[in-house]
Amino acid sequence: MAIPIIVQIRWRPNADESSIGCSRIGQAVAPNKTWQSHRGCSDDGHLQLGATDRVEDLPSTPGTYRVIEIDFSVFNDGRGYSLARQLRTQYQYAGELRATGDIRIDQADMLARCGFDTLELPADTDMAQLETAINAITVHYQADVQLGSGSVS
Amino acid sequence: MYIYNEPDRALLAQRTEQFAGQVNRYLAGELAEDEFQQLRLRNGLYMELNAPMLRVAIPYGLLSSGQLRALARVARTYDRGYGHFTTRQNIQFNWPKLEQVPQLLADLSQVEMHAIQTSGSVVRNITSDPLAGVAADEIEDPRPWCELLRQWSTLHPEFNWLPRKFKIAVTGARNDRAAVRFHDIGLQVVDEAGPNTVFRVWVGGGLGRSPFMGQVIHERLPGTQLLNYVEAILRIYNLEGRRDNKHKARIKILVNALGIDVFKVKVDSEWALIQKVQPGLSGEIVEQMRAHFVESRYDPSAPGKSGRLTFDCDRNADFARWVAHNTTLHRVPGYRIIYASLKAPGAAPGDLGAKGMEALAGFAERYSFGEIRVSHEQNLLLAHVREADLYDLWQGLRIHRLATPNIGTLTDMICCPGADYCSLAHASSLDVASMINQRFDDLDHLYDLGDISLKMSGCINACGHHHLGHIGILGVKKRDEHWYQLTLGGAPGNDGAIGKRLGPAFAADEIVEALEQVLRAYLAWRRPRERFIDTWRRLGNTPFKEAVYGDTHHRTDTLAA
Repeated sequence: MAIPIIVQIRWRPNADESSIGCSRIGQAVAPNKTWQSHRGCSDDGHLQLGATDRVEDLPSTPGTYRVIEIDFSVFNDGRGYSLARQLRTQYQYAGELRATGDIRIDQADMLARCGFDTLELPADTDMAQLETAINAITVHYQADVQLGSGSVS
Repeated sequence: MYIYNEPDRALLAQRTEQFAGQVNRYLAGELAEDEFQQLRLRNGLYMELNAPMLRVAIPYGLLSSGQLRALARVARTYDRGYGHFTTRQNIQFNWPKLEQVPQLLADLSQVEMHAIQTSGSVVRNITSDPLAGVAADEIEDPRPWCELLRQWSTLHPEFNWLPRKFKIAVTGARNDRAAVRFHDIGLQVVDEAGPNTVFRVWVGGGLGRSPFMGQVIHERLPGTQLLNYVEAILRIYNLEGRRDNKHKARIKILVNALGIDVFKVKVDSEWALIQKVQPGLSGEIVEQMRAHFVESRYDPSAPGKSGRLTFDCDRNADFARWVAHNTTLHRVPGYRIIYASLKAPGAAPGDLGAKGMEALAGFAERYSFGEIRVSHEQNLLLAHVREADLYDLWQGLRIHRLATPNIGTLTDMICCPGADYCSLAHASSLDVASMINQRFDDLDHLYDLGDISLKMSGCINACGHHHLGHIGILGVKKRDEHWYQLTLGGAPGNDGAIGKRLGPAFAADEIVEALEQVLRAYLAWRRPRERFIDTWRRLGNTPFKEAVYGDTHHRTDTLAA
């Protein structure tokens, strides 16, 4: 199987709504190369978390990692969205937050809104389709991690 | 009622277009089956036995006449001319074609309606008291809070992939008509709160295969913290709810596994962290929302004209009977709340044809400020009718078979669509409903039986809330045949209880006779003016069991499965 690509999300804020730009920034590291283990930290400051990991159990404060990856073993398991929100809002984690595993382009906007800024996607991802999907909804009721307040929270 | 502003309209237009794109990609073979299933469910679209089924949201059961007319057009254009109102105050269309659903939704978006989050593992339609804003026992109108919750939960980025569906109900009255104890989260405005709204919060209630009554997790939650607190509950549920078994994935299982005290500690600590970054709702937002629901069009001269009601009742016994059973007092003098019964003999409970919808929309415009409500009992209400107009309205309703004077009686039953429409169902429910209607067609007999709620589900998923009926009927499948279990003693409100199973199930040709035996036993044992539920509470299942099963040894032998 082709090695997945890494896509960077760029917010383009406007007055009332925001669009998102997507650009391919590289390839994913081949699996099992640098990771020590789940919850382990690799040499280059990457931390990998799975759905059952909890932010309060991290070996050191989130800010010490350059990249935190949250893995989705199956696309309809939503735990990673809450982990991302906790890291961004409660732990003020400012490094790179990457979504890996089974994620689909129709989920990209909500991943972004929860604070992910890079997505690991299949090598054959259609970038134009991704950009359409991620910008399908630009008006939001809720506060977003990057944008702050929505209309009700 | 809440009127959309520009961002509301923009969001709905974008969502409608997004879903149309997803349908088109699926039809073009660009979306995998498993992914499209999840995406369509988040927009109310099921693939059922005969065709797709689309569930359209009616937020907290409130409709404008224009919206009801639009539903009638949808029924005509995309369906077979009718819709089915559900126990969650929504409406379902059973016959749209998948390719037409995007256009159907585009039509509905013109009247600010949609199918967002009416199914799937997300926060579903917020339900409430059908008498909100008009009930005499109301502490505060719950609808502004419902609308705030609706907006907050709509396309919430964190909670689109929960372990399972999530239902929230809100009541602002002393008598709970929204079954808040039987929702994932139930909210009840607390009395003596002073100027600021305070909620009692219930969590972990639900029906289905393992019914639970909710438990109180917060006795006095300030309204300004409502969204933060609900967010804390949902985050704990999203992170810790079971995902290995869909039958154990509802929050009720988590709450009961941890125990309410441990669950509360987790929620409270999450809530504390959330409050550090999100202060809560401003009083200004709450006030703005309240302003949408203030009704000020009442006619001050209405009470003076109410003499006509007495006059009309005296000269027409049928009308008087309808007034007694299908109307209730409004808190504004000179007005009544009226129930249009969707339980006419021979009709499928909750079904209404396009003509009926349009007629009711017209009556709402003429008599009730153009507003219609859907009740959890699957009837429609006109909430603000002048007493002097009741006779004219009654005559109009009769033409459309919407005036069956059976509200609150046995034949005002709640019923899911059952195995005739639903691919989950084990047994037909509509056939049984029809047999019950035939057997109990004598109004005087129905009135003698008094207040009884009969609730029927075609399978253990309990869409018909059989656990909460004074009498519940549950369809089960045995040896490929439809069988029916009776439960007695359920109730949804302040006296909430989960019904108890009476005994072995009955075949389709036995269930109505069994029901009749239960009712005969009630008539034999009741004290003067004692309701069915009170007789049952006094005596329990035993005398009913004896009445129904008689020679129990014989029945056990033949029915053991």
